[in-house]
Amino acid sequence: MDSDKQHITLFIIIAERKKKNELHKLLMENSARVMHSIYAKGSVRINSFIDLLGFIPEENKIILTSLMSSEKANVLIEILNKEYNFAKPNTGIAFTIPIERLSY
Amino acid sequence: MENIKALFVIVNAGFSEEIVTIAREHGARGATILNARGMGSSQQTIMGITVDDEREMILILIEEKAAVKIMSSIKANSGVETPAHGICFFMPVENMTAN
Repeated sequence: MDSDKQHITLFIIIAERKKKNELHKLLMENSARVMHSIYAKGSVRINSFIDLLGFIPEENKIILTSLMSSEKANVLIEILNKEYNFAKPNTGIAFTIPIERLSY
Repeated sequence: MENIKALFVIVNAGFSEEIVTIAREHGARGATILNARGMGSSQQTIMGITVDDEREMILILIEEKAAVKIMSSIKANSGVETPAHGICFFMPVENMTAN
């Protein structure tokens, strides 16, 4: 498959774990392929008071990766900005990395 | 923010906080940390059980100039010669949600 002609891109979403199912559904509806989910944690700035109490806040995140055309990716970026408020802080982030070559 | 890069830093487990601190000093707003395991050319086996090296992979989205500075700082403070054994690389980001 010549990815240069079809502009395949790696679409990555990083969001809260509780949003996993709805984001997965969104990706399916937008023709995402080869989807994977990875559990991760966010970096949390701990203040000295919380550290003194021994609390370790955990930001549980989910990373969803998939392959799609760059055209679909642009549409999905707009949907995430407007309908899922990804344009606002502490909601989630999505980005694309261009794929140079793909083999399957 | 222009010319954003996806900076990946791979360190031995337990050193992610060190990397996040370096990244914040250079303007990173946050990072995402993944647990991983190293699959090197040789694997340690103890009583028939394969033991992999625990790693942490830190993903930071940041402008290219800052990414280069972070990489230099990591090389100097948490590089392969140190206990953190830090390795980093960045990839181009084509598009991303506004933030």
